Amino acid sequence: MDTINALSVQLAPHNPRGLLLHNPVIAASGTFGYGDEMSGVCDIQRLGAIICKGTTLAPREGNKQPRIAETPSGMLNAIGLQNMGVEALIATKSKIWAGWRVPVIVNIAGESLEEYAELARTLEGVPGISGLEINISCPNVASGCMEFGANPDSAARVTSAVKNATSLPVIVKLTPNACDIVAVAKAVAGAGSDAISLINTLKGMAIDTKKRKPILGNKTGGLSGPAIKPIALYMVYQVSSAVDVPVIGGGGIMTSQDALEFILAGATAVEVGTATLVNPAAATDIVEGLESYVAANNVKFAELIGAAQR
Amino acid sequence: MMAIVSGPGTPPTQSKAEVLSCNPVTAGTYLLRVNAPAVAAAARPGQFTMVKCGGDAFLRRPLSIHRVSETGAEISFLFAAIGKGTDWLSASKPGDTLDIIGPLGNGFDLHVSSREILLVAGGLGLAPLVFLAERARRNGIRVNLAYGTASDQRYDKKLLPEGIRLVEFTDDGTCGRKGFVTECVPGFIGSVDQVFVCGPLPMYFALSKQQNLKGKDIQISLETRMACGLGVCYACSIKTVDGQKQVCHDGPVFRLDEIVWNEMAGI
Ligand SMILES: Cc1cc2nc3c(=O)[nH]c(=O)nc-3n(C[C@H](O)[C@H](O)[C@H](O)COP(=O)(O)OP(=O)(O)OC[C@H]3O[C@@H](n4cnc5c(N)ncnc54)[C@H](O)[C@@H]3O)c2cc1C
Ligand SMILES: Cc1cc2nc3c(=O)[nH]c(=O)nc-3n(C[C@H](O)[C@H](O)[C@H](O)COP(=O)(O)O)c2cc1C
Repeated sequence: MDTINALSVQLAPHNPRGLLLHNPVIAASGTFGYGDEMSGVCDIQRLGAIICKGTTLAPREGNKQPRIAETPSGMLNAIGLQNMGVEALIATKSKIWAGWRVPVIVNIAGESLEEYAELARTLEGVPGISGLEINISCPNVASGCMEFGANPDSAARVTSAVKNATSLPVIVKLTPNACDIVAVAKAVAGAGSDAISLINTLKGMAIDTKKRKPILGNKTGGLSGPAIKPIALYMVYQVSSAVDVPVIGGGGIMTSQDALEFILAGATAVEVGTATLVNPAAATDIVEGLESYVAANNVKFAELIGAAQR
Repeated sequence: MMAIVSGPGTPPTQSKAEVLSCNPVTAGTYLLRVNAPAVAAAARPGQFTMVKCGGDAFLRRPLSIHRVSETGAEISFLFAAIGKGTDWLSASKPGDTLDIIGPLGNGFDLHVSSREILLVAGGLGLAPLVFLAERARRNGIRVNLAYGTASDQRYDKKLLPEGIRLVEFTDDGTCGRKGFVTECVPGFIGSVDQVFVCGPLPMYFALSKQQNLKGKDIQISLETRMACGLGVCYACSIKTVDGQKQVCHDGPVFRLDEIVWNEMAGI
């Protein structure tokens, strides 16, 4: 059995262009840069896909230092979407991506519906880009972004605005900082999202007891890593049974066992974020782990998706 | 300008390094030697590695390359045990293996044309400067090392590379001159070609305020919290006169006059 093909997944079955991945392991946004920086320490072409750093229309400087704090089994980050802006991304990165086997998805973030639509229009037809991930879930910027993801109506409006502006497959990335994530998921699926990814980080805080003030320059940050895995897993379980578009699960995945849990909970693919910061080869190790699991258990990958729901 | 130890470096690798020894240097500081041929071969002074620590430490910890052995197979670290990660590391035993990524960062820019340099070390800021002193001596450059600590708990002089001129400072006067090590910089600035500084932030603040140092080739090594060490997560970004830079990738070595110092106060 060809395990490479055995793991391939289609993330945009309803989109004419489709989004076919050789395997279901995706490098998450914000922990893998633009991919090229990682080529020395990770066999990037072995990944299912790479999602680049959150990108905005204009370049952003991001938040004040300190921007990270280690917490039990995880970390807080408040990067504040520092990025080069979409024009520089097209000028410097898309050309590199166009020569790659691994598909690259651009994570986009805006402060208004119009900004999201403008980003999608700007990226339309650019070689080297296989899809868009709409970030309506960043907890670290003062306006926009997570505000859109917190309620179903605004989440659906952003989804429609982007869908109307692009022919690329669109993934909407949800925030766990919403009252009812299932309602948000249904709304974005209804608005035409090709796939849904979850979860982004959970808003949190750490305090320096010597200085008697928050550690992060931004005071609050987003919690990621193994600490959030059980929460993420349950949300993936709930959302994937409520929508009929593919779900990409993530939050605290460190190993192929963790990835398998998300797949059994209903995820068609997984995003690996913080693990990459600790072990740059974490995502490719997970690909190998899943290949071995499928081969050793003589099971079709598709049968594993959502098996724990049945 | 031609440089001995700068220019595009060898890309970092992740490797398993065998611990050769880990011994206390002073109370709470340790010298850790590991076998890491790939890192040793590629390393330049001022570069660092990201070390995976066990126990409750989740992220890797950045540590400067303190020395590379003559044989070129081993590297050493000089570090203070101050928290979860470094406490765990201080209990390393010969034969243990450490997961390290390196060499990382830009390193110091030492010029071939330099005849004499000044190194200014505050406390454990000595760590990367010993490697630089070794390389400079090997290239026939005269090396002055100004080394300041709070008290007489200090690195053993006998371990320093041969042929360097040592100027000693302590805050309490128990060893060498009493005072801050940065005080000696103006006295040297006319006679040395380059100055390299490593120490806590207040040292850099002090130097940045001295008018007579403006425009001189003074390089400093910065510390910020880091997660990836590879330039992908933007945790360590700082403001420079040329815009945002990543300490892990564009640094940790910067020109003193390149940093926007009032933005650094909160760190
Ligand atoms: C480029 C670079 C080179 C360094 N070289 C050396 C060296 O050669 N010798 C040495 O003793 N120390 C060095 N440091 C500082 C060293 O990384 C910290 O002392 C260490 O990370 C503390 O970890 P901990 O788990 O013991 O402390 P904890 O307080 O438990 O750490 C908690 C978190 O804060 C971070 N952190 C704490 N203090 C620092 C610090 N000063 N700088 C950066 N991050 C910090 C840790 O990495 C961790 O993520 C260097 C730092 C940088 C950025
Ligand atoms: C340092 C850092 C930066 C991040 N930047 C982004 C970003 O730009 N856009 C985004 O959608 N998510 C971003 N995330 C969220 C991750 O992609 C991921 O959804 C989240 O961290 C949970 O997964 P994990 O536990 O595997 O990291 C970032 C996370 C971290 C730790």
